[in-house]
Amino acid sequence: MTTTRIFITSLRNELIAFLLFVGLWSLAAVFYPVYVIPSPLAVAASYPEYLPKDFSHHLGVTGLRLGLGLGIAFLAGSLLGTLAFTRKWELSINAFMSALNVLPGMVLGVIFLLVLGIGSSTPIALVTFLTLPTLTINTVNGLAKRDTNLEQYLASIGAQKSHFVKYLYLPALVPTLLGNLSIGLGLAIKVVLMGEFIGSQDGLGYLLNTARLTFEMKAVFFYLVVLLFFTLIFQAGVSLLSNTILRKYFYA
Amino acid sequence: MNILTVLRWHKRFGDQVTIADLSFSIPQGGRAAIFAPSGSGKTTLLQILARLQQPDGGSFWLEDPRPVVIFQEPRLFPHLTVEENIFLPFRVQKKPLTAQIQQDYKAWLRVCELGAFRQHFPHQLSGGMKQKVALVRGFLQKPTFVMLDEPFQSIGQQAKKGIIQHLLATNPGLSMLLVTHDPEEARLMADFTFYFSTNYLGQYSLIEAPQTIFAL
Repeated sequence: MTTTRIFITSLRNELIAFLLFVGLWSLAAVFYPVYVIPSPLAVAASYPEYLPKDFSHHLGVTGLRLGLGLGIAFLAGSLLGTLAFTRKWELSINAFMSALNVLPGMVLGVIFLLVLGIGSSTPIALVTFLTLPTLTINTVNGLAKRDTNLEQYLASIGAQKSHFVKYLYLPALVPTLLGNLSIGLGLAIKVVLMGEFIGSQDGLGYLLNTARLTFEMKAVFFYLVVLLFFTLIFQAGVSLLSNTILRKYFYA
Repeated sequence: MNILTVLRWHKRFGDQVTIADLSFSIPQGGRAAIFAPSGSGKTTLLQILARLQQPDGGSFWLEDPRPVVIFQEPRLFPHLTVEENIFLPFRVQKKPLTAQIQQDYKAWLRVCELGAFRQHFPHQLSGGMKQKVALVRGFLQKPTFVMLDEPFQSIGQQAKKGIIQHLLATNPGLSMLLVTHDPEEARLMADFTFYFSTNYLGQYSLIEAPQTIFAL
């Protein structure tokens, strides 16, 4: 199968998910007035009157915060998980990360706001801090599922630690890391919006909060569609990666 | 001179005795087979020799510092092609892939009928083909001592004979410890057999001519 066809297939699956969402939304809109749940058609018909002039700036900063926060958490989580596994710290790290995982996001958000102030730092720190535990635990669990027969084989040919990482641990991690990207993105979107609710004066979260407070439901639904669309495109990209250049790591 | 000497080995897993006071030796260039009931500790024996496990007691001397082990399962890396799997020990041990090795590699591919599958991944091969790849990977290193744990299980009779003939023709001085359930394999490969009738490895009968194993 060519790369283009694989991408189109991945996009088709995401499109089905998108259409399903629009279908459910349309159904819900039948039972509620337009100021509570506007229909997709109503949102499309009034576009773009409910959007601020600098919408693209808000979209850009949210994308940047999301990318930075998730990127840092992804790198740190993968590194920390691999280190914990190879150094046999996995039980301590897992316990620590599980403890971090129960910290309420709103409380952390307020703390970061007080420490870092209003701006991009608060949402970025919040995304990093709240996605890191899940990504680290997933990485450790992914490595725990490695093939121990292959580990024995490498030991029998005199492999060094770096060979174990190169030929066994990293390849065993690829499916987990891609899974981390998918899980991490969903979580990171929620968190970046929360961070922008609390500690920012721009970004989609800020717009969503303002629209919510003034009952601009068409704008609220439009922003939700933008987020959904972005998530589905990202998932299609991850799916494309797993079906092309990283396909060989899924045969184990 | 012996390539391998095992002296008074003991090994147990909980209450289960696996190896009890086992001693044996293999002379330089000797090819030994181990015949024992299932679950009697044959794989444990090989794993201790490969330094993947420790015995509870006893000692051993192995002249070859890096013996080749061919396991019961192929143990191929799923993300590497056939060729990459076969050359992996060379990369790990930083040995150059000389012209002689490339020539031996091609000869092994012909014998094992793997020539058309060099760029295939393990999931694209049958069980027998995977096992052949594992054998080529082991034998291509030109070991002086090789340990084989039922290595021909999923390989047909004709192919098995071809592989054994090629191995013995290209490595005439090879020392070997073969674990097998198949008297035919022992007859083709080994010049003496340690025959165990208990469900652990301890006392054994030494059979100089493996052909006679049929009569036991």
